[in-house]
Amino acid sequence: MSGPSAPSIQTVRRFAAELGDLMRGRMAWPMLLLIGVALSILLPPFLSLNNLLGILRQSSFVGIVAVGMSFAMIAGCFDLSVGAIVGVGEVLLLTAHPTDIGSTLLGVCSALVVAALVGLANGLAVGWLRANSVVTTIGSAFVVLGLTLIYTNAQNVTVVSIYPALEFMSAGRLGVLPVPGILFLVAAIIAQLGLSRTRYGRELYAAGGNPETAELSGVRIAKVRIIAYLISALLAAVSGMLIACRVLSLNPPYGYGFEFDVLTAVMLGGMGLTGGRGSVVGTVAGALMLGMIGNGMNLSGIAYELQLVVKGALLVGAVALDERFRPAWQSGQ
Amino acid sequence: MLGQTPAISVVKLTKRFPGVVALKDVTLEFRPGEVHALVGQNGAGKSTLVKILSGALEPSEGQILLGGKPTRVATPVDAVGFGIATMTQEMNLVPTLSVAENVLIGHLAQRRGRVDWPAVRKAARELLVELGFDIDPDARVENLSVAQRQGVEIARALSRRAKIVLMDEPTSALAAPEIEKLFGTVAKLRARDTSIIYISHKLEEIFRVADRVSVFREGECVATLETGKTDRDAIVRLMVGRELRSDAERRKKAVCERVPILEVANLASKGKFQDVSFQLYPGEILGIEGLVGSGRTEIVRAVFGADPVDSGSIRVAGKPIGNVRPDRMIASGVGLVPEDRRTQGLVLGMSIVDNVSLVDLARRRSFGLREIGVERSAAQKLVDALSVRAPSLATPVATLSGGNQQKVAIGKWLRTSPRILIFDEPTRGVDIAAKADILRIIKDLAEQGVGIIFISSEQAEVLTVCDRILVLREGRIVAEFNHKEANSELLTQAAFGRSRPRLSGTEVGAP
Amino acid sequence: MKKLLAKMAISRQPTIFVLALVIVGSAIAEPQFLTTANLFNLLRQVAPNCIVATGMAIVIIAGGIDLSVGAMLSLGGVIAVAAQPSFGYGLGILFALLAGAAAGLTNGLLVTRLRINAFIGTLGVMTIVRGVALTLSRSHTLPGQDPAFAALADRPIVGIPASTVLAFALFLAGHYFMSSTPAGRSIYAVGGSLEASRLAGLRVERSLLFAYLSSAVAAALAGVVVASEINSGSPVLGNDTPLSAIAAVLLGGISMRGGSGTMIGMLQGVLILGVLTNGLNISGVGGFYQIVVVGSLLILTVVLDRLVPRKSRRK
Repeated sequence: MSGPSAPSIQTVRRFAAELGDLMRGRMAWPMLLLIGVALSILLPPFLSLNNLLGILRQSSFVGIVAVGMSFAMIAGCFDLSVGAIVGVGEVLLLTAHPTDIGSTLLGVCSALVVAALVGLANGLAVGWLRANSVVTTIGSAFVVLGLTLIYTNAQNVTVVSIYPALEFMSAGRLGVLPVPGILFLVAAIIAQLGLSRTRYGRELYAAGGNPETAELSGVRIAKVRIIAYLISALLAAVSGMLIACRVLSLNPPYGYGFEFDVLTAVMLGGMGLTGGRGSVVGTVAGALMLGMIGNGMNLSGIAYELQLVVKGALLVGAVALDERFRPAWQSGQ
Repeated sequence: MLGQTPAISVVKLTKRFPGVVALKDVTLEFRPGEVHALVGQNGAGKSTLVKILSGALEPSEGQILLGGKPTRVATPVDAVGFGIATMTQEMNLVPTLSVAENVLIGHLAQRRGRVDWPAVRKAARELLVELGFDIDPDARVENLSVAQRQGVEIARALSRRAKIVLMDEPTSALAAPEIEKLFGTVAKLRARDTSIIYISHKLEEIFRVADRVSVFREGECVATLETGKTDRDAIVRLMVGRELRSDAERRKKAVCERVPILEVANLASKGKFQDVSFQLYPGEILGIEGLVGSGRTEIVRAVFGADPVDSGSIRVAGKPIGNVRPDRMIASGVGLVPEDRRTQGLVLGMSIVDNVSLVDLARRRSFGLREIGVERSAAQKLVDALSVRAPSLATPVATLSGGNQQKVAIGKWLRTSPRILIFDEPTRGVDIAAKADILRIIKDLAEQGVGIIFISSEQAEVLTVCDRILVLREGRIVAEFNHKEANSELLTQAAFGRSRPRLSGTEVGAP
Repeated sequence: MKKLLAKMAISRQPTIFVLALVIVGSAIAEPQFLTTANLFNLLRQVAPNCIVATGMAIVIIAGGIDLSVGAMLSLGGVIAVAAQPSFGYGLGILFALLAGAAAGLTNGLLVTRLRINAFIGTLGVMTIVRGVALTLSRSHTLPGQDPAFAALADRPIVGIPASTVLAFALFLAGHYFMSSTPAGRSIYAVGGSLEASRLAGLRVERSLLFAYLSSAVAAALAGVVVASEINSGSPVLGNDTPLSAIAAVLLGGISMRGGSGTMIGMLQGVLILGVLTNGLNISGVGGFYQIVVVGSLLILTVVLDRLVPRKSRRK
């Protein structure tokens, strides 16, 4: 036994274990900070206000979808159709030529309705019929992509001007902050509150973490999953609409492929692969992290193709880490 | 047989788990060409011994001797390598492959790098025929009956030249003619000098098929007898040890209401239970006793709606419940504290507050928002009432001890003021202090008028706590006792004994 | 309701009938279908998917899955073409296959050593492989430099295009391997029950690694074939490859749960898909409708696969 002033090995070990427990699942924001600091040191232009706000704006488009995908992932399901649904949002809004309030509403409503239908279909297949979520949502992504291509005849979709309110939402600023960034944060706050303050949120975590317990406690698991897929789809459509208003010109395959960035962001934010864990707070950090890393790579002049490789490695790394640090009591996949 | 080196033996084998000693100082030998049975009540230690012999567990102390030599059996694969074959209820066959492929898995006959299918089929067929089975070697294992799958497992053991075969409850899912065939197979194995270790609850079988029987009680092997020189009663007495009488401390409030709160009629589920009918009265604690695998958990899960049934009806407070489902039963005031709290009773990743608030009756109120304040105070009250020891309400339940976890799993239901609460092994894996707490909670609930169904493998508990006890055997209710007449010997006899039609009151049967 | 759908799934006719149905249907709907020219075309069209599906079938039977095959197909083509100026097409093909082996090994190790979920792991590798393909080709489609290479895929062998002969040969090899070799049977065992296989002493990790290797190398080979057909290496191909391959495998009666199904079934599935798309093509239905059809088919087969209960063990 060492003297009274020196901590014994036991207490140090216990402290480390407790710190590990605390950090587990909460690594996202510290990592975000770390990356931010590292990038600021390595790349001087990183730290300018303009650049940071740009990161916020860019991350918002991925982030809004990521917030939605988080619901599905907490329920233990994947939603890889969000990219195609982003495309739906983009296309249905712009093809309505939203120059006045009427056409804007038409475009927005049609996008949301179609997205909801896709979400419902996903939810029924995965939540009720218990089909494999990865393969099913890949399939539905393709169906949606195909239908979108049919609808546009695979042409570019371009508008010259849009309803001012829409322009503001996607390209404007409120004070110094870009509006999409604000929308992102608002969506995140509402989502996080929804998860922590509603009964549904609790049921979602239970359905993902311990589906048997949830079932035996009267939770209707199918319903919970369907709602999660609906949320995921609707937010994807919203983000698509924002992107469309920003770029004003769309080319095929529209949003398809976006889902990997979103998935990476969600995983970087500490979402567990098996459900019942994670939070929107983490996802926000993940989206920002992805944005920062992308920005850093851009500033360093790294080729786009190489960036893809890096992002793929990030996804694999995040998944491997999730596996490594998964709490012992979580069921494996 | 005497004087031969035992095929396998254990010397001073001890196995400790946190909080319990599963095996104490067991020394036994198993001889070639012998069928050696192991009997004992639930938790007496026989399964633990089998797990150690099959390599699934390692002993805390003591040795395993194979052919006289001390050997370490560290993993199941080791055991297979040493010639130890294990047959358990979860059969380790590959369901999608054929019988022949399963029998010769890992050493398929080859000819110049190609699988020699005719040779594989021939070898498998020969083994099966030798064992007395007529199974098509090309049949897919998943299409076979349990009896046939057992045949395949035994054939596989033989193809690996197993010297020792462990059989854990081999006849539990078999019909009479299949059981006869199994006995024939065992005889054939015996003739080949295989050493067979046979665990069963069916005493009449043991007398038919075994040469010797070892009785386990509370982790120790209390006797090893030759089956020719003993009888059923002696064995039961050895299993039970001291007699436990129903606890004199009976609750004062008698069960005066005779209107049942729960009526179960003719519940049946193929392969699990048949002909189950009983009533539960408010304020009564009804125990369901029986051996592991007799259908206790299956029945209460079916009553709660967690599993579907083939036929039967359930009425709560006189109202029939159609399409029985957990959320419907919960709405009718029924709750279930399941057997496995970690996967069925709790959401391990969530906090105490969240777990306790999970069962949700007042859904429509407050637009689906949680009333955090109300939840917290309710949770605090429960934590105090149940003496849950935890750093705070926000602690994730995964970090709590078994006893405290169980209390949270129970507390979840108390919030809903249930009319009926089912407890399936509520004190399993729980420390002594928490056990006493939990039993007290159950008694208090009964006093408040809640109808309770209580399943426990510990007879002492059942006798202490229950007003009435049903005994199950192979999916049927075979006896009913009230607390005055119940004692451990009667319960054990009924659980082990021959099936008798159930009469109200006591069992009519062997003295 | 679920029971009704399950009954529909169980009564699913054996694959050969579906194939016959689809062929007859196409012949009736489109008289051009049964012409020799079209049937030739059909065989040529299904060759790449057949090669990929052969590898995919092995992985799925082993109980896993490989979503990186599309990106690998693209990378295979890019490498084969990119290597032509300096190394000639022979070495180019070899390099492509080696890249496939590397990717397959990565997939396999991620699943066996790091125990990463196969879906997500191969998804991540897919992104990496895609990035490598884009990097190597600098996001351009590389034109083929060697007319001999371009002639490879279409060169007639006994009148049939070499690509088709290759696909069929690969199918035969795969069939032989899976049905007649101990290694192949081990793969079935691992897919049927990992636990039972481990307890039986089978080398489960080796079987899984081999399965993932097969899938990636097959995809790379298919990429070489496609590159020869279009005489260029394109880094953006193959987005729908995993879809088509998985759909073909599932249509062929191979279950995603692993341990069952045959390579012959896979071939039938490839043909069913091929006839469907070919039929749509000659009816003038655009490529997008085909995407919708294939996607829907995939969802349908996945759902049905889930609904067919694996015979549960009576306890």
